[in-house]
This record gives sequence, C-alpha cells and structure tokens, in this order.
Amino acid sequence: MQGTPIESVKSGIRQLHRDLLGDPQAIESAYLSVLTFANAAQQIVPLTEVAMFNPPELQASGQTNFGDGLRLLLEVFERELVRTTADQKGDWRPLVFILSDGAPTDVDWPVYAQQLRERRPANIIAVACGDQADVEALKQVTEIVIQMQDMSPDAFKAFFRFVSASVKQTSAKVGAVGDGGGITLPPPPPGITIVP
Amino acid sequence: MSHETPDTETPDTLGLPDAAVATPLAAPIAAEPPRPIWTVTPPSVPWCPEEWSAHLDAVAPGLVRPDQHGPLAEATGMRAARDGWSLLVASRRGRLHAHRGDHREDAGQVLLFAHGWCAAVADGAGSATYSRLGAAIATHVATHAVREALQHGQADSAEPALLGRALESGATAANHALREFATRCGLALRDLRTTLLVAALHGGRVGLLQVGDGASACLNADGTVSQPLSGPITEFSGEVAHFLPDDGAIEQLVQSLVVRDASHCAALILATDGVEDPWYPFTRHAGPLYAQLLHGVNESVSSGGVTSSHRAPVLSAPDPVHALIEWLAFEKRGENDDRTLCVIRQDAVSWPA
Repeated sequence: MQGTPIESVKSGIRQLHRDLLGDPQAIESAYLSVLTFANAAQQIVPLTEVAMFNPPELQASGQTNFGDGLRLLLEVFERELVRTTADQKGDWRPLVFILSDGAPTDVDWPVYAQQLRERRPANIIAVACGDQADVEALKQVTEIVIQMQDMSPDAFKAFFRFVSASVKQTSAKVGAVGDGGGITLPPPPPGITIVP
Repeated sequence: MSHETPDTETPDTLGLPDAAVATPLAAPIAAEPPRPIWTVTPPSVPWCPEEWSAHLDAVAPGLVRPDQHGPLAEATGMRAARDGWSLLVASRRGRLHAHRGDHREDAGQVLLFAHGWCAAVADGAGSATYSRLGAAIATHVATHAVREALQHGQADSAEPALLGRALESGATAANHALREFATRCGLALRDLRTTLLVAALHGGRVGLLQVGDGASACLNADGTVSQPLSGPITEFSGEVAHFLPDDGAIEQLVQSLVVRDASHCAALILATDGVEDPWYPFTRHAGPLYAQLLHGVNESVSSGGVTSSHRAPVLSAPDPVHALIEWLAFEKRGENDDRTLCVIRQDAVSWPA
C-alpha cells in the first residue's frame, strides 16, 4: 500500500483514536496496537490504552510478507493478552482488522493462517483494499472478509468510522465462539461489501 | 423471629431524570490523559413494544414492567421477610447503558411462600435485541413456577427431591415462556437471550441452578465462604457458553442443580456479572462484599479495587432497597455493566468473619 491509500490509513487511525477518546467506555477499557508487514513484520505500537495511544507514522515499502505478519500477530496474542482464570478476569476477545491491498509474497503464510483459524484468539476482520488484494488468501485467515474497492480518502474515512463502531460494540455479552456465537458487527458503510 | 410480609411484595424504584444530562466533552489537555465523561440518557425506545404487551401478559402474568408505575425505572428493588429469612434484591442500570440511552438488561426477583422462598437474577445478553424482556420473563416465570410447585408442601417435607423438582419445573417454565413469547412476537430465540440464576428454600434445604455467567456465594456460620455454583470459565470476558432459551440451555440448567442443607448458611448472595466481575474472584471477595453490606465501607474491608460512594451499612439501613441501589453505584475502571444483587439472610445464623 503506497501513496494516497497509506496516507488515508494514517489519517483513519488518527480519526479512530479521536473517536474512541470521545467514548468513556473505550477510554476505560479499549487498547490499541498497530502491526505492519512489508519485508518483515513489526509491531509499531504495542497494546496501549486509548488515552495513552499515539497514532503512528506508517511507511509503505517492500514486499507483502503476510506470513510474518500473521506470525507476529500470534506472538502478540500470547504476550499481551490476559486470559480469564479462576483468579483473574481476562480481556475481551480482541478485534483485529487486517488491511491488505496485495497478494502474499512469502510462502509460509498458510501455516500461520491455519493456526489463527484453529486457535481463534481474536475476532479477525480482513479487509481487501482495491482490486489487487488476494481475497482467497484473506479467506484462509478468517471467514469475515470485507471488500473495499474504493481506496479514496473518503472511503477510508467511512471505513474507520465502521472500525470505531465495531470496537464500541464488542463490549456486549455474546455467546462463546466455540458455541457458534461470536460478534455481531455494525452494518458496513456504502462501498464496503462482505465477501460471501 | 418470624416477620411476615404479604405475598405481594412491592417493588421500589428510582425514576429516570426527565431529560438527558448532556455533558459536553472537555477539550483534551496536553500531557494529561483524557478522562471518561459519562452521561445519563433515557432510552429512546419503549421497554416493551406496545403491540407485544398482550403477549407479555400471556406468558408472564403479573410481571411488573419497569415503566408500569410512571417514569421508566432506572433501578428497582424489593425486600421481603418470613420465617427467619430476610431477602433483599436490587437491580441498577449500568453506566454504559445509561450513557448510550439503552435499557437495563438485568432483572431480579424474590418471592415468598409458605415455609420457603425463591429468588432469581438474570442478565440479558448485550448482543440480543430484546434481552431485557428475556431477563424479566425468565426471573418472573421461574420464581412463580417454583413457588407454585412448593407453596403447598410441608416445611418438614421428608422428600428431599421435592425442592430439586420444583427448581427444574421453574427452569422449564422460564424456558417455555421465552420460547412462547418469541413465537408470539415473531422473534428469533437469540433475540431474548439471557442468563438465569435461581435459588429456593424449602424444608430446611436450599437449592440452586444456573445457566450462563453470574455468581452465587454461601456465607457459612463458621466464617467460610463457599460457591455452590458458578458458570463455566471462558477464555475471554463477555463470552457465555449457554443462554436461555437456546437449544441445550435447559439441560445445562437442570444439570447444574445443587441442593444442600441450609442450617449453616448465614447468607446467600446471587449476583449478575455486573457485580461479580468487579469483585472477581467471587469466592475470595464475596466475604468482603457482604461485610460492606453488613457493616458499611471502612478501610479494614478489602474492596478489590472497588470505590464505593455509599459507605453506610446497607442491610440495617432504614430503607435497605434504596441503600442497596445506591451501593450498586460503586465504581471500578472498565466495569460499567448493569448490576443486580440479591442478598438472602438467615436471621438466626450469624456470619462471624
């Protein structure tokens, strides 16, 4: 992702942050983290409470090492998520948005995609940006894939409003994922479709 | 000491303000993290759609709607006493629902009958559109069905299975009522999803059953705290394995049944997760919680990170219902769910801790 789209993503993250700062429940309970994957994956911002979050600078470069991104995602889940035990209450199941406008350039990604599907450590929404995104690869990671054909700044603005609404909505009690439950997302904005 | 109250317990309510209290967001101050600013907004939709009122009356006759006696009840509670037992329940809309203008989705109910009582708390699933109706129907129908099954029995019943069967019939009746209501209103079963925790006393025994989350605790005469029931622990917060009236939930309810001798039980606490989560783990914190209700909030009481604005004793207050409603306004970061707490005490048994 380069040029205007990456600038729109940066702007969208700033907008998401502003929006969550206006929600008292988000201030008290939501945490944000940003990971990128190009030649290698990086956690640009560790899981940080909304009030302390600083929207990062993002730079697009190199290839699409999707596998390393998924590997790092699994690693972050293990390192930063708190699970419920008999002694402590855990986090809410995280909500992860994976944005990609291309196809994986590595060969390992199916291994990590399978691990994510099997372990279900998060509610993952994959976003296929533009018509070059590999929808089938994203489908290997999660059954929730949305297509955003329009990559204009306005389209990203609407998308990040959808992200914000999704974050606010996920603090509702739901059926356990293993029991066929899972989250109910707000309706996506016009121009964004759910891939069947 | 026997102190009887009529069978028609009167709910006590706090009304919503007439208008929203809209507080403008403050501009962020550099180097200081923003603070959450909560508002209170009345719900914009009726508690029960008018066209469903007749269906509600049909499946849960006598159910007292939170908007039945005037402005919609922000919180509600009731108390009752008989044959040496005192029951107190209160249910309060959480800050998150108040901020978003949503209804309270919790419900609580206590009922007396000859030689016994029945109590229930429920928490409607936030992801279910009409879970507030589900929780209200479930608690109302379950307690009334248990009372119906037990009220003609003898106090010294020689049949230990009677209480268990009555609780099972209460659970079955609640499940049936929810399904009937869904059919009549054209709703999906998942629209009414709710947890349910029921307790009843009869013949010197106390029985409990539960589906979904929430917690119960028995404070024993020897100072110990036991947890007769608890929902299954899920990996992440906010996820519940089973709700009424889903398929399989009634089996979970029936399988959870526990019946035990009540003679050493000084108090029994039933709580929805809005109370359980801030006091988690409940086995460790139910004692300090009860001590707060009994003696008031003081520094010697471990509060588990909870800040209480109501510091006076609740159980000996002139108006315990209002006192409990006020106590339920305690604060803990990130814990803003609806809260329902039922406290049942055996007057002749003291809790020494």
